[in-house]
Amino acid sequence: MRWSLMRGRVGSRGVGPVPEGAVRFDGVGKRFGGRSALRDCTFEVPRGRVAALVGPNGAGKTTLLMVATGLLRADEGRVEVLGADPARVGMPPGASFVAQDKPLYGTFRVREMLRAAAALNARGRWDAARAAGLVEAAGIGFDERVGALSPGGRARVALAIALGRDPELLLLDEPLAELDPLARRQVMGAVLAASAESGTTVVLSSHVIADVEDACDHLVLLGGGRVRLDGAVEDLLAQHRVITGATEPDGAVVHGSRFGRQVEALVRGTGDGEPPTLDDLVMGYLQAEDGRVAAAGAPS
Amino acid sequence: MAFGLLAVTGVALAVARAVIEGRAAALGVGVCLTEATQQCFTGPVQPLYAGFRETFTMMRAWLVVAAPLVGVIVGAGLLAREVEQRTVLFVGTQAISRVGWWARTVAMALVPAVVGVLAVTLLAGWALEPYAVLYRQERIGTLDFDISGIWPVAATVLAFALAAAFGAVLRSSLAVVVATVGVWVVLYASLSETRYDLLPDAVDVVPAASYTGFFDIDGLPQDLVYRGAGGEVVDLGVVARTCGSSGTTDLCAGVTQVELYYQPSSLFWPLQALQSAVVAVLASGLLAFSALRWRRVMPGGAR
Amino acid sequence: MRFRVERRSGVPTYLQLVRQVEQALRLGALQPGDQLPTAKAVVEETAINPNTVLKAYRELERGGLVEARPGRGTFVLRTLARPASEVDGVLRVELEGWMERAAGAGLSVEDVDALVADARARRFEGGGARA
Repeated sequence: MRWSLMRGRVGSRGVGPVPEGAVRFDGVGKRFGGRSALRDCTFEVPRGRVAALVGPNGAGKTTLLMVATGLLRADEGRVEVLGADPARVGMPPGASFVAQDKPLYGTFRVREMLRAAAALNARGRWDAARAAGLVEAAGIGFDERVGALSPGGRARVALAIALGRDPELLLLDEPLAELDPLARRQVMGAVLAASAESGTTVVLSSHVIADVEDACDHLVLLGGGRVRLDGAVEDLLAQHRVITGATEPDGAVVHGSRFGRQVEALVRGTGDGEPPTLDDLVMGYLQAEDGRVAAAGAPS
Repeated sequence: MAFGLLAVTGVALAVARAVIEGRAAALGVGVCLTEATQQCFTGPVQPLYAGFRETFTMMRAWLVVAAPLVGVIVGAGLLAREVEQRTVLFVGTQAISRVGWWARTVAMALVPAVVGVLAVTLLAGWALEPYAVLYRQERIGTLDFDISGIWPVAATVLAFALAAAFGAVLRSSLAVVVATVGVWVVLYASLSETRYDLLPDAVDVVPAASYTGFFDIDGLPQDLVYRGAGGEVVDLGVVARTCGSSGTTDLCAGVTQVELYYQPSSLFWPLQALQSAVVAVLASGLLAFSALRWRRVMPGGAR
Repeated sequence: MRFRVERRSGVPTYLQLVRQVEQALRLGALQPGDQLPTAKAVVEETAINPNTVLKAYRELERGGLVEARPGRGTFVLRTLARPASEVDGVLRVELEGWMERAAGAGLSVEDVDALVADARARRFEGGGARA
């Protein structure tokens, strides 16, 4: 088991094991009718990371996040979120989720929306001051109607509510979709500030790698319902090279493409060639024919 | 939308009362709106009598429809809206159990609707009183029963519960409304049909000699029976052919007494209670069903 | 102190932060005792990973330029600014005069940059294009 390699790792202080990963999937599968949305998905996002769940549209990112939140139940495999099984407990109490389109009650005023969120979280943790503070910091008036907010405004309110739960884990489904560049910067800034301040683990999905590559230090690449890559960005990049030559190089070639007389290949290993960009890595593995998988992070 | 409906109804009711009182005063027959005396059947009251009969019927018919309509509107939106707007994804990931959220949402939707319908019912009682006196309607009578007491609220609750139940099963709001209306009409018809068979009739017995053709009872007539000397029933058809239609049946066709079976007005509240109890049981079952179904409403498919 | 991250420059982000701090120290914009912005403040504005900021600050600490005080923040230890001297003042005035003449001769910003880069390369790096 891939993640069991990391389980026995010794902590940085040399005493006791590292706490369990924030999100762990092992051989997870999910079908809708005859169609397989997720197949044999195995990955682990360690605590404290900002992880990007990347893949083309239809790759299964939303399904994966919904399985992690208990909104959907996996057909096979094991799911562990903050140590709990969402199929059994529902939404794990230490986690927060913002679905695509940031669903909120459009007819409510922002103030009422926050009050509704407080009522819905009466049985759990709720930091009203934090949520209100985030809304204020975003420059959103409490009397504005939720339905009348810009997409960026809605995203900030949805995020404020998600962070009002004081989560250890933040799950975001395409948080930057439909946002203008300024709003994208601001939303990512707010997400990362939570990570910097409280060590909140973040898993956010995106089909545009450029949006998230500066912010994320962990990558889970999903293609066709399968996990193609899982690991720390730094490690993944260090373990691959891009080699250009007349013919495809020997060794562990992930994917090669021909450009005129040259062949450019993404290779697993160190040595010759250039370090890949994150884009090279993602493209290479998505196009690799046998759905090759790599997980970085050998036991340290 | 439901409350707009109630508001408009309220205004219409107030206007209806003002108009009839104004007209009656103009004709000088205002007293007929407070007490149905003998002269309130002929003479100057005629235009009043003829002119407002339709208004009275239409207002009552509308009120019969309005109460459950409010229930349908409020209930149909309940779950369908959450699924349509995808707020089920929001609600399902907060720290509240599905059933807990559902109960809260139902209460928040149903309570204002019930209060609104109750208010309109009371207003209707006041506004239609002159009409009721003029046309000598008993509260226990069919149309009037349906718009008085607690029945309108019961109707609202039943329609709401039906809409909530269908909403938990059907995806489209339109389908929910159609199904709810269909089933509600069937239930309403069966409840109306059986209403006057639930509790025993009272009977007013008048000897044939003093029979004037009129009974002075307080209630809703159900059945008229002619009895002969030996206690046997004399067929109505025989009486009609032999005695003509004058109404007096002194020793005609062997009739010795006339019996009118009726549901006394005093049965109004017991009947309201009985029928509302039936509705309460049905509604509870429907709401429980929708609560259980709601736990399984998932985006993208069932668990 | 505001950071600017050039995403496509090919220079690792953390290194950009390190250099911007060094530049600020050189120009005197940061003095010993000043506090560097918290990681939270930096990521809120630049939307980069918090670990990148921490890595940059660690690098600066390794170079002895800053010191991390647990629970308080990261503080500047020493400056990189050269003590101001007469020669600096004269050089500056001469440079500004040259800029005036270049502008008067119709040079664009790119022309000026190219000239300066070439002259600098010849003197300091032993390179530069042939005239």
